[in-house]
Amino acid sequence: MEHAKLLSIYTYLPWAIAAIIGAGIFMAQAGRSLHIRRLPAIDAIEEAVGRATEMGRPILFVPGLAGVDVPTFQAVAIAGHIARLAAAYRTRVLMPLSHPVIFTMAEQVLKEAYASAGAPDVFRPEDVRFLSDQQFAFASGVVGLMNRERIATAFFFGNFAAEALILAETGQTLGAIQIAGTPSTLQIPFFIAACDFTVIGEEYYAVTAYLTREPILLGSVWGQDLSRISLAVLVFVASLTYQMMPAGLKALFSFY
Amino acid sequence: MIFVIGALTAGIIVLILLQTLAPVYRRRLTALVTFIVGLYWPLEFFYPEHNFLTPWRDSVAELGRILVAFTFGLGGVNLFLIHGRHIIRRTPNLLFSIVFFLGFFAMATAGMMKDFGQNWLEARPGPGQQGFWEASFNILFKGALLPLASTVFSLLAFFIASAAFRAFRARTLEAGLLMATSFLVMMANVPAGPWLTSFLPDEGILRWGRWENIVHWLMTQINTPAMRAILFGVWVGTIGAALRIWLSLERAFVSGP
Amino acid sequence: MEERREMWPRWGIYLLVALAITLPMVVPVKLRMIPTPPVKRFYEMVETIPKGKVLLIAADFDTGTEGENGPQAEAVIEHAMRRRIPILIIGSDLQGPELVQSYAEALAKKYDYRYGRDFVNLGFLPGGQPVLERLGRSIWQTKPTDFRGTPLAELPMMKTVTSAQDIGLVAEFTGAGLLPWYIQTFWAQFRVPIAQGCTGIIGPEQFPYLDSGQLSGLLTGLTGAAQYESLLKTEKRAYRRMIPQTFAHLTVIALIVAGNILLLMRMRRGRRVP
Repeated sequence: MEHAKLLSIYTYLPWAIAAIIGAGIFMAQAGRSLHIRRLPAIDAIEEAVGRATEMGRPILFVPGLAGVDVPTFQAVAIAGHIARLAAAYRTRVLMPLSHPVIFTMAEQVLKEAYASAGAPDVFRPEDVRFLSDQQFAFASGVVGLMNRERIATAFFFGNFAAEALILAETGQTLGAIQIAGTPSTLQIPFFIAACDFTVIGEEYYAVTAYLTREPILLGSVWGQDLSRISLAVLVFVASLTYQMMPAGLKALFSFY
Repeated sequence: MIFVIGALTAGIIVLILLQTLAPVYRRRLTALVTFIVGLYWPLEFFYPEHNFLTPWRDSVAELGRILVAFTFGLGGVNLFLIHGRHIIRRTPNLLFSIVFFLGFFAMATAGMMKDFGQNWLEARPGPGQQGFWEASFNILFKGALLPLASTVFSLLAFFIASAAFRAFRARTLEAGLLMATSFLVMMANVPAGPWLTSFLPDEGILRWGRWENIVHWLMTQINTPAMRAILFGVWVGTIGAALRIWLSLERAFVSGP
Repeated sequence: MEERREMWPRWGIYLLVALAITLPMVVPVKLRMIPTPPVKRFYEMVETIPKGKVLLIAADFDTGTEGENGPQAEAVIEHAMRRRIPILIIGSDLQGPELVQSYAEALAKKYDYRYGRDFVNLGFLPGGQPVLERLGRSIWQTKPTDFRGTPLAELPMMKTVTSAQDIGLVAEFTGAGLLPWYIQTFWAQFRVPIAQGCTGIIGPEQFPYLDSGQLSGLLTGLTGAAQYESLLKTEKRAYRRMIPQTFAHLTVIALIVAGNILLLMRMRRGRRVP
């Protein structure tokens, strides 16, 4: 399947989902108040930033190992909001990076976050640093940084692989408050075992909406929830219909 | 040639615009470029079969790779600045910075000389022999980098044990169920589990009492639906987040001071 | 002082794990491997590759996951060689094809396999899914030379191997989530069955594909490789590596039990549970 096919449902599904999410954004902008449920992990973010301030130690934010992709962009957006919170308390955020593209982006986002919160002097350029694009070289670099700076709070948001537990266990040893969020399903168990709070699956993409309570973002989260319900209904109805079809008709649909 | 000159001119114009425009317009220009560039891939893929955009696919991918190559330079500059500062100010972390510079230059020199300067400073190696630079690169890459990476990777064995000891506690019914399941799965991953039930027959109803079959049932009937559900949720979320970034609705990327 | 008291169970655990891994390497232990259904299905798939078709080995791994993927690939290659099925090697990782080449060469003498006649290595294929799709349409156009730069025309095996139609089974070995590339190309477009050897960690993510029939067999981690070896009635690298792994697993299980006993004791004494 190199390209979408004319007669396949997959060709149209993403556009339908995008339309539902777009409708959510539009409704939110028009002033409709949309309800989304609370997440304890996100409520704990401010507390975690506050704790680092009390202890006078820096915060660590790791946006995962991946390069230019949606989860990492989302992670940088979350970092921006956390930096804004930290800037209000005049606390440093250390951000080690494994991809040079994300490095340039993250530096800009953090700098602007500190400036917009009125604390441009707290931002130090060396706090956003590119370590290595090699997975375990990066992991050992971050572990070293965590130990030397004796971080009080650690945030792990983004795409992670085998290094997830190495980082989270180091934070555990240091006694840091740790909040993680990842769309990588395989790393969720490790984060749950080693972190205080973990944001699971789709909740990951709702973090910025929760943190800012901006109508546009809330609208998109509401649209996503509606899309998920519609998809679940579609899967259920399609499976049931397929099971009840006569054998001849089934063969026709066997491929899609 | 025309394309190269065209791209250079367009790049310079965009750069000049970004420098001279007021922040509001600068933000709008960034949003516009993000939108246009972001439109290419979904249109190309989801517009059924091969279409008028398909011939440009390789060129657009190439453009992305070139941009990434530029940022690698920036990453290098960042490393130099941070570690250079440590050395000039003689901070307590001076030693790490010295190791960084040694490692960086040794690896870069060996890597480049292996490909571009084989015949410089050394005699041509005979058949079946390694040249000086190739051997140096192999020592650094296979002899140092790979074992170091494997060492950090294998730390996981220790971390998993300590995390399991701490986290797997049957405090609630759910946690108890999770623990029981993990016990079954872990035992199936070593010969001990299947061996314990190997006296049961491989056919008939009793085969479902065999350890490996219980775990196979757990993996396909319990784990699989849960995995699918999470993945569905994640991918819808990805579409939502992609939309927000593409339309520049995510404030972190567009807000100015 | 408090910190030191908190540290000792951690160091104790580390010591136990280190002993569990190193001791079985010195003390001889015997294990009995019992194959699970996904492993048996993988074996069946290799057993039923039609004569005249080749086995495509996709070596999408590097030295990082060689510990698990290496023995898997080796066992499957040995099986194919016993059946005298020609083998074609590719890889989406730089090191993978080189590693698989070394396994094939090591086994070639025993089974009288000759490079070019019975197995060919196309080497690293950069470019991801689009390149796999092109490879399925035309191997010769996508990769006109093998990993050493020899033109395909000079390799006798390649005379009859031109597209996905000549491939009987795709066996992918990886520690990353690349399976959708193969499913969308080889399975969906060219209707070639796929079997996979994956690392233990990504195993749970592959089961949905096994359940849907898009994947025809699965070797998970070192256990999968050792079980495959038992089906081949050999005891090689996977079996040997399985011994320390078994003891490490049992140690972790024992630690979990110990942790729960500790919890129970604290609850009895009415102390606050951490």
